[in-house]
Amino acid sequence: MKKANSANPTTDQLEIERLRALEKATREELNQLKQSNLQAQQYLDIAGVAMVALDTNQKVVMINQEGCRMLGYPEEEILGTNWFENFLITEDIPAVKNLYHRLMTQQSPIVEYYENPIRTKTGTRLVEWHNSILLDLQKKPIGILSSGLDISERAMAQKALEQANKAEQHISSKYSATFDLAPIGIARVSPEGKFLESNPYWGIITGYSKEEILDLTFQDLTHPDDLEQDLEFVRQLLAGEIQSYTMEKRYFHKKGYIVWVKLIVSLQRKENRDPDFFISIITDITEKKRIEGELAYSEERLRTLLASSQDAIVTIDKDSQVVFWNDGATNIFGYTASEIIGKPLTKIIPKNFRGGHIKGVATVISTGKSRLAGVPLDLVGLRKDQTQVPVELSLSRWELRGQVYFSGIMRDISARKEAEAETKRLTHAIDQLHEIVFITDLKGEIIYSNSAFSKTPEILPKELFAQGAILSACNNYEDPIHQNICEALLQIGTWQGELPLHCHNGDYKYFEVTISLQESDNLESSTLVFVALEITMRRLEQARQIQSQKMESLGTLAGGVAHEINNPIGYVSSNLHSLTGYLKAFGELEDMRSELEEGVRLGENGALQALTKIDKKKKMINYDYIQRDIKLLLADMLDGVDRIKDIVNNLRDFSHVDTHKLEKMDVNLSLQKAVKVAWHSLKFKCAIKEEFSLVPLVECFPQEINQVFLNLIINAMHAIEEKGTITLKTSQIADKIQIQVIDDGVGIKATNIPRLFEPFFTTKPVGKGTGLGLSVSYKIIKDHHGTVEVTSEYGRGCSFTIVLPLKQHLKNPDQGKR
Amino acid sequence: MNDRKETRFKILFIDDEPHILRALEREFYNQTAYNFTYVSDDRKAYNLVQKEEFAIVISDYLMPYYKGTEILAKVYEHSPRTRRILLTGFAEVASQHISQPEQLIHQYIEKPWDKQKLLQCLDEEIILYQSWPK
Repeated sequence: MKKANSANPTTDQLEIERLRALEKATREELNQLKQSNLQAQQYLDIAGVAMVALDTNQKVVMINQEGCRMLGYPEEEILGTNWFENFLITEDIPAVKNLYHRLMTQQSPIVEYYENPIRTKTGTRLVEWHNSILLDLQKKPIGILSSGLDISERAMAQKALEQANKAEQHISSKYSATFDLAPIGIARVSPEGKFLESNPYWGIITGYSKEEILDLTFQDLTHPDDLEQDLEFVRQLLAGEIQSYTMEKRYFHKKGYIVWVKLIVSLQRKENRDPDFFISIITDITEKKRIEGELAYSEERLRTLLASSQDAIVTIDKDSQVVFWNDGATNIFGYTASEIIGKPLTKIIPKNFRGGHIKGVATVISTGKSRLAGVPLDLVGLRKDQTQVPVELSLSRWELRGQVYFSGIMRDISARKEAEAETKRLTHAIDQLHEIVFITDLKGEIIYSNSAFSKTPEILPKELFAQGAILSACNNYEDPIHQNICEALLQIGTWQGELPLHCHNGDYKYFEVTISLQESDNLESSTLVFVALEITMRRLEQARQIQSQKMESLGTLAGGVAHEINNPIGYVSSNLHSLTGYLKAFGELEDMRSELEEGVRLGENGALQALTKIDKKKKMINYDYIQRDIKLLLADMLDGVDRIKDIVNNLRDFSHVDTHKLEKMDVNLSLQKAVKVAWHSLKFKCAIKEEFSLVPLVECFPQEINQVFLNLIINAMHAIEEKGTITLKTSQIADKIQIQVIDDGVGIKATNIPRLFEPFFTTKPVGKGTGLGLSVSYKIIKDHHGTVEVTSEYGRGCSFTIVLPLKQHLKNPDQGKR
Repeated sequence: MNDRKETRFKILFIDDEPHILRALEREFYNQTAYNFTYVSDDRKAYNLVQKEEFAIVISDYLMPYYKGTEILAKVYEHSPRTRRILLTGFAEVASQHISQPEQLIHQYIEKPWDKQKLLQCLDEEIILYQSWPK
């Protein structure tokens, strides 16, 4: 506001002059007043500058439209309020108030220009103030008029601008090392966007050398998605709306990939305010962007993990109060987050562990050390329903704003515990087995073995793997057993059979072995499971059993045999006595022959006398009888001895331990032999009917087959109570021989038929049989790859049918050695 | 047959095996104290014991049609005082029968037999037979 000019009073002339001048001055002053009023009005109406007038009491007496807009309040709410108290930021108030007081009491000169922040309805704004003191006629201050410009944006751009200005200085001093060496990219760009100059670091970021960049515009380098905003900023800058701008944008590197940069641009104007050139500063923020991206991704992932985790994730504070609880925790423990947050963690700790927990937390807080952190622990948790659940806990401790927190991840390991227990139980069970159990890969490397294995590790059939992986070695085996195993595994995935194991002392051990292929996705990782049971004892036992059963069946014939032997012995021995008597009598006659010779020499009388004596003697010893009988006697004795010999031979044949050699046998002959052995028991009871066909010889172990025939014949005999017939039939069916033993005895009850071949099953009275005959017979025939079938009608007899192959194809070449 | 023979004690041997009978016959070929009869057909013997009384009947056990015990049972039925002896190679069977209360058999002789014992046995049995009240 303009101040009134003072006049200089001198002469009268001057007085007129003075009046005129006064008039003029008054007029001028009026004009000026008018003008200043107009000016004031103009000022007030100009948008973009806030105008505020304060009185000496710091109250707002006037504010223009822009002032209201800037503060965000209507005029009436602002007028009359204390400006400093309502709109200044708190820290500034005392100092400004003090200054204003000094200003109003003229203790301090006016500060024409300053910047200070003010509080508006929408936040703090930085304002640039121009001030003038309002004076009354006595030149006493009555207030202040201030015009304010919002420079918040400008101030923010200021630093960038300062940098830009610095850069500008660098550019203007071309030889400044700083320009060339600055670790930021600096370039000069024409108002149209053409690069005018760049420093080396610009080249490092963008890949373009100083020379190359000259042909390009910033539009060429800018990623299309960022171009629009960049151009808008440029427009604002050229229009003078902004002093500078900063943005993060993408450039294309010379090699084609994207480089993220932070760009600060300011505009250098010519003397006439026309745009001269842009100063563009870039820093490479690709790495920052990448980290930001990763951070955002990992944060997102973490959030998802926390929410969707099956594991319980729980955070407690130093007082063991739950501060975080995820859905996984709800699933495991049964409490929802709202039920447990703010409650003590001890709710999920079984009573007997609570003390330990509290102590542990206290220790960690006081010492800062935890023996539990970092190591997963198996613990027991307590569910809402008060059941316990085994959990694996991973614990971590962290601090935030001086507060200690513990986060725990708990996994429900009930299933794992159960599986572990199951595995333990199974392993224990497998270790208790007599069976050797081991698992190998296809190359024979042992993956698992039980304790039985350690006693006989040589059971691992190394030859199976000698060719490499077993399944690829098929067709390369010399040993038919190995070939057989390999083929079986390939075809049906399992093999079962006997494997002999040669011992150091020359003996064999026998194992019944099952090998199964456990196929996995690829053949390489498939495994073989071996289960082996030593059956050496069983084999010996079996052989013993067969032998003892044979003896037993012979035993049932013992009565008949005894009778049969005692008869001939009876008469042979008796006859020998008689023969002795006969010889004695002959001896006496012989003696008389010398008497006769003497009598002949003496003459007719003497001879006659001697002859009479001989005749008398002959009569006495029943000479005619003896002479007649002696041939018969000798024949009887030879017959008897033959019979004994026969019986003994038969028995010996049967009681012999088998030579265990496959032999060709005539089954018809074998049946007849069996009949012969049993004959003494059979002969008065059973008629034997032979219905034999001419059949080829059968390959078999003859003793065993004889034993079967004898068993069946004895069985048939026992089935016949008084008298009956046993029919023996043989026939050939293709490459097999069929043998039938049919009796017309009591037959077998239908309910007993399934049990016939069961060891020790017998319907005979005690002492008549142990019930082993048929089970042993069945076993023998099975070993010969044959079959035994029985049909019977109770009360009408029964029929046993054996079918034997003519040839034995033994897979196990050792079978004959039993 | 003359009268003198008639007065001798009659002894019957039964065995399906002619060899046995012939051997026995030889044992007694110059023995005149007793009147021996030998029968190898068990069916004939079974009939004979029902028609004729013998002082002693000595029978085999195991024969085609009758067991020795069956024939001796018949003997008991028709002439209870006849001494009944089993001559067998099957001693267990005989010992079972002898221990039975009805005393189907009085004695058994095992095959092979001893001539002296056999003779002694016969003499003893004849005395027992004689002492039996008629």
